[in-house]
Amino acid sequence: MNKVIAFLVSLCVVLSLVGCATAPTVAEDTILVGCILPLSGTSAYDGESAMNGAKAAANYINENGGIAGGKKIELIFEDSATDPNTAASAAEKLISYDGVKVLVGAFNSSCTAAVQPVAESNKIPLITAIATSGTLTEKGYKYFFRAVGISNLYIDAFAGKIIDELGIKKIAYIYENGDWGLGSVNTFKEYAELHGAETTTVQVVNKEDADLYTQLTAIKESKPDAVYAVSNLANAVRIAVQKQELGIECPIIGEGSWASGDFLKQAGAAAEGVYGMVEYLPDIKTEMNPLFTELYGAVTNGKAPDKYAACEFNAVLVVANGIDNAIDPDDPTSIRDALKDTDINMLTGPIKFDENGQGYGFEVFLSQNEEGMAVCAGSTTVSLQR
Amino acid sequence: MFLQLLLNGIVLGSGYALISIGHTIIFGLMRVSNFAHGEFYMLGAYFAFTFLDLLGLPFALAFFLTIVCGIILGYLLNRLVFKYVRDDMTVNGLVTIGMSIFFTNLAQYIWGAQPKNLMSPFKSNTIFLGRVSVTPARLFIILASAVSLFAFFCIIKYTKLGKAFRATFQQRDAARLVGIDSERIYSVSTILGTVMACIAGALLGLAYSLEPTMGAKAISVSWAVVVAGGPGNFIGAITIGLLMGIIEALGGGYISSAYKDAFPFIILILVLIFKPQGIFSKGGSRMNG
Repeated sequence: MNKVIAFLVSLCVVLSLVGCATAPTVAEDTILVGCILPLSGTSAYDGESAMNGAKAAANYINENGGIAGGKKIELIFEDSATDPNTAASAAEKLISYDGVKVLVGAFNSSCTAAVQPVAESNKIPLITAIATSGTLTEKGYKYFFRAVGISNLYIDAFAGKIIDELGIKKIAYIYENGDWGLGSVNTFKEYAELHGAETTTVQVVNKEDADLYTQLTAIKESKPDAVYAVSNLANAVRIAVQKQELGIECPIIGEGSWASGDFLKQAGAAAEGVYGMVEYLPDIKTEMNPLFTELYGAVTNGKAPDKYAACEFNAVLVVANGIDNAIDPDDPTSIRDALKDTDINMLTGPIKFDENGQGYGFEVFLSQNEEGMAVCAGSTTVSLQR
Repeated sequence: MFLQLLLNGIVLGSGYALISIGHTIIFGLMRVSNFAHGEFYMLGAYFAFTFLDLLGLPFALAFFLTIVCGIILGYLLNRLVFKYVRDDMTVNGLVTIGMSIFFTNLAQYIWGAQPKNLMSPFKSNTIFLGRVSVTPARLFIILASAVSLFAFFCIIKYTKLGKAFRATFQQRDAARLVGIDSERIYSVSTILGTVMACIAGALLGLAYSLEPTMGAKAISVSWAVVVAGGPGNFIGAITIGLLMGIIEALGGGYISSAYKDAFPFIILILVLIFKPQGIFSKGGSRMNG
């Protein structure tokens, strides 16, 4: 009996090794695009939305005649596990094993930074529509494009306006530890000081922190007129709920997941009145939004889309357009050249890229939560001039 | 601000103590370096979520069923895993790291990655005591932790089972000679350890949101508490657990929240330098708590 088991185990091992050697067969009429997303780990939930957004875009493209003369776009998803090392290995795998022509990803700024050199050295275009850390487009990579605004651009657009309108004199900061949070807080602080709002305290939240009473107590004691908070969903809920529990009454101005349906549902009453600077809102009036809502609903059994879904949808549209316009759609460098000249209408408006691969021309939105709904309270176009 | 931070620290610390007490049994007494302990805490929270939110049971019943699940989990764990890897810390360390990854992903598969909140039986209205604010759920956590820890002590100190338990870990061979079934004791201690982790999950879930990855922070703090308190030392685990909670809160509040998570580990490093056997351990013997 033991020998039989031993034989079966070794058979499995041998077969799995054999499996490694054969590359997957790709149908003639499909073009492979690799998507690296956090499907497990701390950003897993938002990663799933993004995945569905990408699927919605691929379905839309394939049902409307495909790309590059009728070819279908096929997305291969790899899990980054919200971990830069895993993200980099995922990119290696997608490029050398699957043979993808373009990469989309990798959601978190830290993961995207880890994928950038892999894409660059293999000459594979990498498009992100979610990672917003400013430094990503400052490294001189020739195969990197960002189809989303960076923190600075939103803050440029909205910070002064909010501070003046709310009459903020003293402001406290709290952010999720990482490049994104720190960068966003520093930029906002510059504008706040310019508009006469002094800093009371700066607090940091670690991703796995469940209890934020310590940070919020310090904020409460500093008696600010408003709190500027940068966080993804889980900590946004904690910040809002625990802030309310501690009886801190000033409004939150948030960057991150402060307007998503899940935030509104989970934070409940604590979500009311929160301002957000967001890439997408379900009630925006762009041309493509009704179509997107329908496409996303078809993929997710009727879920309402969030910003991650919208951003990844945008990314796949941009990629498809790049492949479609490339002189040789099977050559990544040719696709890169076509991407440089991108000029299309995405879900959130038109987009072009500057020489660093930073996108501009599309809209960003200011939201405020009212009675369990994130309502569009203003919008502005992302431009590159400060 | 001091009183508020102190209270925050006590809530944090009660949680750490509850998580660590189970860990100190499994690591300190059974010599299984259990890296999956944080995941039992996470599973406890999700069991409570299943009974409370998904099945809509009343809190007391849901809490009871969570304990039952913890018992089953602990029994299976000892029967299927620990039994085979008990004596080699390298092997059981590796096995439990694997289990930790498995359970995190299993939980994500079953319950989804979306953060969840337990339907708290307490009204969320904050109580303001002067300038200190506290929610009923947090007061309940402190009370219930104290009661759970006290009940645990009574089992260990005053029941026949507890005596057999202590005898086994003080002198395994001598305990066998007087007729104590050591296999049964191993089973019971795994169950006790797992149940304490599940109770911690169910209680802390009332104040914090649930995520499949919530075990990661719990286990890192729990290691620090167990090692600093002296492996296998219950009083040590509780005192150091509370102390670490308080120091984390005060350090985070007064010095910098960026290094909040580092403060408990500073204690650990100090203990390892000056009293490497643990603050509360006398010499090398186990079970003197």
